[in-house]
Amino acid sequence: MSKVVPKVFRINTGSCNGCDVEFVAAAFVDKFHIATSDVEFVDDVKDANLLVITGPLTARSESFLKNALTKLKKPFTVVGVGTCSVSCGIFRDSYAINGPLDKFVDVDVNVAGCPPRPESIAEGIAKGIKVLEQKLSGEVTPKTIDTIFSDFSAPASFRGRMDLNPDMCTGCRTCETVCPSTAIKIEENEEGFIHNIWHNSCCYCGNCAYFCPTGAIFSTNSFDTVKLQNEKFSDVNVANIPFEECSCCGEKYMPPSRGLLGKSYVHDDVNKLNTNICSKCRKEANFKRMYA
Amino acid sequence: MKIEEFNNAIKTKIAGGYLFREDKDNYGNLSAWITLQDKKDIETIAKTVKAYKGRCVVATGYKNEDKEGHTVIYHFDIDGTLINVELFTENETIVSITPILPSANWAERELREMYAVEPIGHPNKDRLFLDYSIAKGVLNEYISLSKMQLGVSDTDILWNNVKKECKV
Repeated sequence: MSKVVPKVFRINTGSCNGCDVEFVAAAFVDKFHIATSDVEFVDDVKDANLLVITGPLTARSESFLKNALTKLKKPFTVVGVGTCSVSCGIFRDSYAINGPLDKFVDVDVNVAGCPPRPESIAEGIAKGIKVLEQKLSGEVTPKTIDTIFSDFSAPASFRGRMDLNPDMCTGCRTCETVCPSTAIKIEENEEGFIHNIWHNSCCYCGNCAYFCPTGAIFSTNSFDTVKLQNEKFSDVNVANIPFEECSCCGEKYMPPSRGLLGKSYVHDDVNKLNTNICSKCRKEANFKRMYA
Repeated sequence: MKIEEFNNAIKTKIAGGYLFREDKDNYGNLSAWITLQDKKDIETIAKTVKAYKGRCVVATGYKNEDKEGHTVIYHFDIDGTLINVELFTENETIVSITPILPSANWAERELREMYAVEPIGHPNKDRLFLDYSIAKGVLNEYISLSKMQLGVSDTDILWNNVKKECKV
């Protein structure tokens, strides 16, 4: 079989143009590999076999996308670029948004980010090409594809995928409240809190890290946000924040964060401060100590 | 131009009467607030603003909760002084001032598509931003803060999918 020539066409479905600017860098700067590969950028959708789509799919752009899709010849691959295209990001629930993209077309590769780094977009296109090759040869698309470009890196200060230190977290829900794109959900059960960060909804604004009173949530410089469609809902950072049992009354309670205690009692060893005792029992003990 | 001068200029021309007050912001900038009793008098205001070589900066609006109808506020600028004119419409129509002040063009079209308040006599009938599939007056709908902040909506099935597929 002859080698597949990927023919890329980009469609903007109401993006702010952030992703499109990064796409231009990914497409035309040599160090991102796409410019020096066999990828061809076509100016008519009917010639394309790899669609790069940005934006949350606004009501106004819906008909344009549908029209473009009718002109494509199968098989083709769709790479959704930007958190908007994956989950509508900060625009979710807006009256003018009809997305996300996978409501209207079978997406193959998602590249989360707001905007994603050109490295991520290049990786997304490369993975899209792999999927296209498999489609053309009649193979089944694998559940994951290993990272293709291993020579990319980001500076330490880059605001990438968020992470959580569960030892510092108290499940106060500040991060959940300030997140503009509903990427954080905190659930409670009998054992404690479950802290979820859905990377495909995160816009990497860093609001959560900025407002976190204990410094539990933080951004890493990882830009590993290129995932296949079947990983869309499972690319989640899950952390358990367990309750402790009070040594006095036996009730389950959320212990204060070591980080917060460290900030409040700067001259004391926080490990010696009222360990394993709930706030109610601590109040009683302190009251007895002072007034008994 | 002094605010008092503008007040004197409209005093005899406004047929329906109006309330007038001056305001000052934290930086000492003066502005005028005019509440018209008759919404048609906005034409007279626009003509006076034009005579002073002023312009319409923007127009805002909101749906009234206590009485049926909309309040529309035009914000005019005359040589750095802000003149804010408030009017009430009970039947979702206002007299367009775009033929007098072209600077009101986009603001009035926005009022039309966001609040379904029709500027009668506006030269442009097309929508400004929103797609025709979106209902006219979409901002009249109540959108709760919780929905805005937390995405709590009936249609938000995305997190349910995350819950389904993510094994804790």
